[in-house]
Amino acid sequence: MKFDKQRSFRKSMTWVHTWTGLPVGWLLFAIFVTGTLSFYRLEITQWMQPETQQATIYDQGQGLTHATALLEEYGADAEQWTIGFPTARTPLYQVRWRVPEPEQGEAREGKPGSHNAAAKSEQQHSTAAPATDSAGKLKPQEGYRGMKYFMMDPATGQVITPRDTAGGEFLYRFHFQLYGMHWAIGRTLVVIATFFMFVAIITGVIIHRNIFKDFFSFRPRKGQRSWLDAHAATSVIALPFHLILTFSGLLFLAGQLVPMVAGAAYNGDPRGFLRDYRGGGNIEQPAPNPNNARLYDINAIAADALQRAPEGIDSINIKRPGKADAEISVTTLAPSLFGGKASLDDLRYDGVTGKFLPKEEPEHSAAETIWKFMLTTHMGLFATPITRALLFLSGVFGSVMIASGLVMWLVAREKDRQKLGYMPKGHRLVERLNVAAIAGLMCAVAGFFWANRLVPATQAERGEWEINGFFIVWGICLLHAIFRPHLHAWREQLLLAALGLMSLPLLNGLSGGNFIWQNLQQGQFASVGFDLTALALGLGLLFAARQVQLKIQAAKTLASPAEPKPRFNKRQADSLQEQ
Amino acid sequence: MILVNPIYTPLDRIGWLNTTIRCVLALFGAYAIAILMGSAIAITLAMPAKDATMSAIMLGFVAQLLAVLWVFHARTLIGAFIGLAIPAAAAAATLYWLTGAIV
Repeated sequence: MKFDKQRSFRKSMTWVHTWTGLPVGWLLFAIFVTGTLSFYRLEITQWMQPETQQATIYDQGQGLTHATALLEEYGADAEQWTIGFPTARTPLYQVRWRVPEPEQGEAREGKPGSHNAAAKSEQQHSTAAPATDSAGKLKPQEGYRGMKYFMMDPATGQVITPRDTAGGEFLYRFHFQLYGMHWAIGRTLVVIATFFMFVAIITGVIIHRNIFKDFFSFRPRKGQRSWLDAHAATSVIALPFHLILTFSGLLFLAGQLVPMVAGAAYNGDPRGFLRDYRGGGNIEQPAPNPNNARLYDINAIAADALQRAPEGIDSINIKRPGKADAEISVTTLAPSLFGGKASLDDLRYDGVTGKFLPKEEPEHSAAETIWKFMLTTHMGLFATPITRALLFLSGVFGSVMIASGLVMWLVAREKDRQKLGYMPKGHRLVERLNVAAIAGLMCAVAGFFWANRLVPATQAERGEWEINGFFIVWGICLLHAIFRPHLHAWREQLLLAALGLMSLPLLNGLSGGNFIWQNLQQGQFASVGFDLTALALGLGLLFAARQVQLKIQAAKTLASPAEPKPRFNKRQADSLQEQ
Repeated sequence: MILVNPIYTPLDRIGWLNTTIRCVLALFGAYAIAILMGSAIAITLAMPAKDATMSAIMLGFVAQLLAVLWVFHARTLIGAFIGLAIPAAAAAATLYWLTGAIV
């Protein structure tokens, strides 16, 4: 680009689009893929804990009673109880409690390994059969910040202890802070890449003048034109999604990129904004009441909550159970933009009298509404199954958009290479990185799920081993991409990823989980969805591998024009000879 | 007027240097715009601190985006630089006037 010459705005923006996209494209692809998968991170975790697929999941109305009994037995001295209800996304009850312990000053978030670290000491019972100690008591699983929990079959009340797994949580955390580095560095890298993405999207809109015309005119098998069409179509079809997700991605990590702005109105302390944003920081907590009092019947509370919120119950949270100032709050499945972490509405009750405590809804500014709306959309909170599927599909489009953009960088320079007569080093580097970052990542994802079933269920630190599997496969793919010819590397890695993903439904049934039809019968729809999605993604990759195969064959016939096509088939030729 | 009669410096004529300077301006200049304008907006908006900060962060990112686009659109390097310097100076002056410090 000659910047000292007269040039059109559109031409300058094309340059910006190309050069903001390429340097971060590989990282962005990984962020997009792991983020897209994270829309189903609960389902993924569940698939990776096949023990949960053995549950008889239909609640006969006894689930809550069983859950409460568990809490009374194991969490008698806890400061907080939480009963997570089975929902469409998670079929089991999750019964959690937290025992008060001295503050350890551990960071509230950004500790990717801490779940696994906590689980390490509990390895001896990583099987479906719950471990018991000498007194015949079950040993709970351990979560964040002193949280202990059981997973419980809704129908039987039986405790299920699934294997330790990195689960969907690994993909989710990789999405915003990568892995193997300090979380602050990972997040900074991600937010910088996000800003590049933001610039690339806006310049992309500027340069695609005929955005709708292009969209309705896909021209397959026309080289660069087809790549451009595919790139434009996947961008345009989910453009609002790409825009909202990218911009809200910036907002999520704004504290990492522009802490000065976040702190400007708080005497330079960005944490002031965070406290204010999370809310509750300014409210004086009354001194705890040490007197004991009987907790109100939770079944009655749940029945009342269902009257008020027919959408259903997500969880019930009991603060200071057994004390005179106990408080029960029911998080319902009714969406509420400003309703707590999961943007769900919650109903509060007095824990002793069971009296409903109406709350006053504070007013929210336009800025906060816009902000919250974008962040909520980004996280897929209170999405219905269909909205969630659309979000996932948009994420797939976004990933294809980035991948096709990366490939196009090379395709668009085909003529330059022909003119030069050789392959410049930079182009070869982009080729190799493209294969490893796109096809290689898909192999790594498949490898992650395979590692989940190949690493023994009782293996110590097995979550770490799943993650190792992910990176080992990715590393091998990088080496493979470096040493194999470009198109062959594409074909082989796409094929491997396709087979790896398509075989997951089979693997699930053979290694502790169920086959699709069994899960369908048992109402384990989350795992059915996982298996079908893996199958569909695998088919898509198989199609891509097939296209590369055709290209290799076309290149071969071009390369050997001396070999003429046989005019006759063999039998005809033979009969001719006989004559 | 500088935008009407572009002034080309010798730096403009060296292709790779021209591109490099624009990239540096887009990376760091535009970031400075986001910080300065965002901070200025955060303390001048007549809203509760939380809402003003949210608005400021969002507008700051938009300003950063526009700054990047401007840097590569501007005819000359001087034009690119002045286009960033004017809003940055205005925001810095606002900050200094209201708080006594720039950042």
